[in-house]
Amino acid sequence: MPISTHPELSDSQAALQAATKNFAQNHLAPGASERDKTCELPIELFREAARVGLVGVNLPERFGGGGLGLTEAALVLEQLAGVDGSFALTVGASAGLTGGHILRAATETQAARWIPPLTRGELGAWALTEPGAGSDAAALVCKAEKTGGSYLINGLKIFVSQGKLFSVMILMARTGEGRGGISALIIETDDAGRESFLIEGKLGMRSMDTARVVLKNCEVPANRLLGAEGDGFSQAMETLVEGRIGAGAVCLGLGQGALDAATEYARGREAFGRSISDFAGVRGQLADCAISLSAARELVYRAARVADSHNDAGPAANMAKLFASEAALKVCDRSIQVHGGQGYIDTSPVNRFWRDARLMTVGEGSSEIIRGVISRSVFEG
Amino acid sequence: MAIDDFLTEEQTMVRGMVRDFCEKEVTPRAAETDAGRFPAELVRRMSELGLLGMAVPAEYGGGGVDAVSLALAMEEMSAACPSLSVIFAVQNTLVCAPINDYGTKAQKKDILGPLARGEKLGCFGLTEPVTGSDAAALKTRAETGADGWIINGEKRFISVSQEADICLIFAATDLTAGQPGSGHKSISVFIAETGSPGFEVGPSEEKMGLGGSSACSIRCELLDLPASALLGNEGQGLEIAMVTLDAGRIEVAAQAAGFARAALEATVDYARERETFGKPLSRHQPVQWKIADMATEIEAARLLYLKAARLKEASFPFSAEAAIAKVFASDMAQRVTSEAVQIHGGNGYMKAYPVERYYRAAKVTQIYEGANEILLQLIAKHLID
Repeated sequence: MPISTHPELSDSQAALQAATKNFAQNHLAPGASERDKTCELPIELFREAARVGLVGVNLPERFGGGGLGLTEAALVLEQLAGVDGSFALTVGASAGLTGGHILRAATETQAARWIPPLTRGELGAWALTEPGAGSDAAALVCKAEKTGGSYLINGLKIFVSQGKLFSVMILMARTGEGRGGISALIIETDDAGRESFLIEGKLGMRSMDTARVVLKNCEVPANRLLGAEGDGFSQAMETLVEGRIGAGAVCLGLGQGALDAATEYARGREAFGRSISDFAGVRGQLADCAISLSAARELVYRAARVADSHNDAGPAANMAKLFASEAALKVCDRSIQVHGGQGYIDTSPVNRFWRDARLMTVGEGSSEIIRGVISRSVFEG
Repeated sequence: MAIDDFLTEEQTMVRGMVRDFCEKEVTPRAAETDAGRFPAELVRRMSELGLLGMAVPAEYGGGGVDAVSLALAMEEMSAACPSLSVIFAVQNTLVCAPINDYGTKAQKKDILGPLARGEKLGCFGLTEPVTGSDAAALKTRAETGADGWIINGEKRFISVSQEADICLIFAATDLTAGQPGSGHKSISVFIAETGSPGFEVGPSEEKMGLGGSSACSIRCELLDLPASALLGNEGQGLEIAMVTLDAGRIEVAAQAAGFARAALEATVDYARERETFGKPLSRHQPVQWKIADMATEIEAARLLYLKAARLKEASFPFSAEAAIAKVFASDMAQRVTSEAVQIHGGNGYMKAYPVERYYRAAKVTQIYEGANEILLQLIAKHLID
């Protein structure tokens, strides 16, 4: 569709976009509705996506990644989310959050040990949220006590993506007081003292592996620490900047997927003797959706470009995520409206897109928290 | 909190030059200009600085800047003075651009040159008393005369027409124009001098905003034009209007972004200073959230007009993108300037503060150069058909 093409995509970026779209259509589309029912993470498809280079496009080539930028990562996430939001967010969380955090904070030895599994299609998890620490992440209480050459971890993490099926998990735990008393530690699958429980019954993003992770005297060696003790909070916040660009890209896909479905439905559906796509009211609603997505798209790709040019992408990423998530939700909602009663039925993809999009104004920084952060940068700027 | 817009050096330089001029000379006089005074001295300064033919090639006396620079300049002019931004846009985009794109060598030398050098002002005569969005139905007629054309008809809401020396007059050259089935080939555009016999400009309308820029009715009665007054080919008028308005929408989007940005900047300053309940407004959460949305939407609007301008500059189709930018930016400006007044409280309602000026100015961006409702249908055509 001409409106969504971007004038500044290079030939290789356009090729990556097309290849991802192709993968999503051929591999993800057939089972997406079914997975939404069974709530199963399609691990074989995930490995296949990794094999063709769609997982970790912005991680270094020496660790099996694509060696490209966040712009390319965003292009991939957008196309995946246009078909299957859960799958896209799994890619974003596993390679983006976990892989990105390791790359930013780890030593070369640590990175060489834990990033390659992620680019091979094993799952990464990133455990920050706790029952009493969501937006106020620094209120976390999960504890890591240094005892000789190891850390002894006790606590509870919730809403951990890939929290059950992960190979590599980054855990933010308290090694001291305050923000400067939070450290990031790697947990591996086999570490004793860690148990995961699938959180069942989510509104959307149902084929993501979302778990509660219990740590009870979980002992890990000291070389699992990423960066210095006490650096965990600032590492996490930096990781979330990139995470918000990825989340914004997922929102673009969800909105575009819903809008495409609504446009196609409107073309095919007749009422009052003509196609409903001939009614100015329906046409105006679809155009309005396209406008919102265009604005969101510009914000997301600009934020990715700022990050790729190694400047502070925080303000741009916050704006992109805030706007794109709210736009996606609105577009999905309108797309249901255009579908009428059909949109309310589970077999219609717009229903799933809407439920998936509903997470996006909440996760990776709620709209309210992000508004506060943006406002601070406006008043201080 | 300046976020990188990935401008070229030239684009950054043009923006900086215009911003500098605006801060020093334009903003201080924005209130009196809005009160109904045509800013003749500022227009003269604009001509000295080359702002009245910015995108016209140097060989005709223009500045030769690209589409992105022109739009950035428009945002700056708009942020400083809504009235002056209309004069800027009409001259650069609605008058100079079509003459540059469709004019003969002679027309460019004799008419575009003085316009581009800022020696003369132009206006764009398309709208009529009963044809606004439905431009193809215009009633003004051009009939062949002894050695050219005889024009009869009436135009309305023509910006800058009180001061203009040159007017592009759109008229039907096929008398079936406006009839069902007459198509788009029946309209042509003519370059007229506003001082000609038979060209009569009425008094300016009293407007809600943009007080320093006129909007008048024009009556053409047996206006006698030479054959050389035709711009482009006979029957090409509607195409010229549409192409010109496509580019014009980039400027309206930039204008709306400028209005909104100026309103936000004034509001940020106000919210830092004004205290309620023992702390500045800037530390009240409802104010913070409004500010965050305002800032975000302004950034989005700017990125959208930059995208359309970059497409235009690269000779890609940009009609849908320009319409998207225009609709988003103008709706955004309406919301943002309204919230700016709201955060100012009672002060926002008073002319002593600048935000009410931007609020009044913003409304028109949803209406002119394609009402947003019409543009939604244009965008839908690209999306659906």
